[in-house]
Amino acid sequence: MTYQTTQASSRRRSATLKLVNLRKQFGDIVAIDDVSLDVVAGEFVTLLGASGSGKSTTLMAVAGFVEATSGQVLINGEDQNLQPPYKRDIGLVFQHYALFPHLSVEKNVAFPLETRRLPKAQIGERVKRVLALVRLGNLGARKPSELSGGQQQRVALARALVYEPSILLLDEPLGALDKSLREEMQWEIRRIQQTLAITTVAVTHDQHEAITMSDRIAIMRNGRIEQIGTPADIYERPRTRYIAEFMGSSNFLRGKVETTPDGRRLRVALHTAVPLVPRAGAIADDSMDLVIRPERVRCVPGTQDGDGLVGAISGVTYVGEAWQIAVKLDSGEVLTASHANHGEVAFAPGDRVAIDLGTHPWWAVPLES
Amino acid sequence: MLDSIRDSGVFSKAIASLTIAFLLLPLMVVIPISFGTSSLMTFPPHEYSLRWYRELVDDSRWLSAALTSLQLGITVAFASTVLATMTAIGLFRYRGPGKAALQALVLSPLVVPVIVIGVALFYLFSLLGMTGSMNALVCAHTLLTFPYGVVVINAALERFDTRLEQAAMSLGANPFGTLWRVTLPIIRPSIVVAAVFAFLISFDEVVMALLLSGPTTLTIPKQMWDGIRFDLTPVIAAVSTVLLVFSSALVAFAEALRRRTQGNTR
Repeated sequence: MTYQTTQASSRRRSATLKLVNLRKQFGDIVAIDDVSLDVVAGEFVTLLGASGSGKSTTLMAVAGFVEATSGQVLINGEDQNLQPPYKRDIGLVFQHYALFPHLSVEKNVAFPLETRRLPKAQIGERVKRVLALVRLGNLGARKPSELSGGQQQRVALARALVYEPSILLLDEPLGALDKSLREEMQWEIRRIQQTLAITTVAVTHDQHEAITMSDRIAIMRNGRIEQIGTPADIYERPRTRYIAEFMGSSNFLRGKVETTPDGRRLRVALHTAVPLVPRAGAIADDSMDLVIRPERVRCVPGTQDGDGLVGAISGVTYVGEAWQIAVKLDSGEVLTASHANHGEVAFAPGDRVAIDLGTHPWWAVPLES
Repeated sequence: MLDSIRDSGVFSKAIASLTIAFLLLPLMVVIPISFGTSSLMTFPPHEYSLRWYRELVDDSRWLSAALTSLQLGITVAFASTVLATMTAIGLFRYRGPGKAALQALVLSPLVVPVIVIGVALFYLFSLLGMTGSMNALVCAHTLLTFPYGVVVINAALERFDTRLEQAAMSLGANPFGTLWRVTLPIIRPSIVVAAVFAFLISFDEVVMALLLSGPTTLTIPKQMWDGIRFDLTPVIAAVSTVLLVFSSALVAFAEALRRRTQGNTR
């Protein structure tokens, strides 16, 4: 393909983004509460959160459509606070694409180049190249209304990339697509982002989308960043119970922290002690919640009674790729296990089972206050 | 709309038919009279001819009135639409206090009786020595047509997705470029409709013309008025018929434009 030159120049142009104590108040409502964030050149960071968490407001503050009450937005170290949106070197993809309905695909993509008064020949060349990059080479003459949702998404992406901005912002980029298309576009956006090595900040409420696309995820809640880290960090080692729940279904077993010579353990139901991953905040005699992802729970059949995590199966649900098995422990808690579907299920409601948590250490979170 | 007529009951059908008849009956009288032969306005005519159309074409006063009206209408359409577009966009974006009051002020020419505005303007233009001039008529008709334009264009702006403006700015267009290359092209059909209506309103406006036009600025409605008062012949009916066809064609054009663009954006 011919985008090597694009790639080279973008590498050179790709910028750092820094938010310093950013704050935005609408009247009494604090939308962004002291958010600081460092995005290195070429990195893909996703702001993940429920609606009202401040993630979109943060993105719009970077784009310049929201004026921060205090704090700074720095692109390549330069303060952007006094720059109007059209002078910030950013590419923005809107949730519903915001394609210009009166212009053809080509004209939409050419728009940012025309406002920059590039020579005609160069505009044609670059539009062609970027449409090839998003695999829409043959649809340039169509109007946006004649395209499918996924194609419109690609046009929006092409339009935001064609002038090689130093930062790409994606506002719920896949929110309007149906599920199978979303998964395809997640890979597509990631591929293009890595091809161009462009610094990217995305906003989404979909944890799966965040995990597959991002280098790092910042979880936002009540206008603050509650945790930032790689997708594995956030999924495996959530700082709080809220994050553990937000990142996917999870079981929680409450217990007390004990200290042993070989590390800390959490004593949970009926004399079972589970080794803990060392973490700050795990203090002896404190209560904590063990985070157990369903796919990590193994049910072992045939146990009558005894110590440990034993119980009876209270329900089995077929979800296609897996079986969801609900186990009511003798101690009263209910655990959900997800057994990959290998063809048959060996469990039925009423069966006695033991829960095998293995010997590797587990992650625990503080109790939600 | 046709569907809803078809689906509705006998009563509403009757009401609809009566309304349409009420609107069309005067035309059913005027059009045949214009094709009659008698110099008295008789209905129905005993014989048909193009006599009154020939007289209309031969009379230079009607031609000069038509030219005056066209010139006036086009000027008014232009001035009124430019003002209405700027006002509508300004009002649409304005978020400060007094917005409702401003809107009411802009729409007030719709509420104040035309004759009141006419008399007021007559005194004003007398003071300025402008009565009888083309400029006076242009000002008066612009004042009358401007609120309609604001209403039509404001309706288009209400449907307009303002995120498109944000998109344009994020792509590097400054506020003027955004307006010129995104906002105006998207609401253009409504701007054209506003211009067509401004032209039509000016073209058959009679009150202002009576008060403000002079010997060199006789418009068609004023000429018709004089004709009815001093020299009532079926030429008036012929003029009416020509105007009817002309106006209908313009309205049909505006309507077709509106439909085409709605088909595009939906």
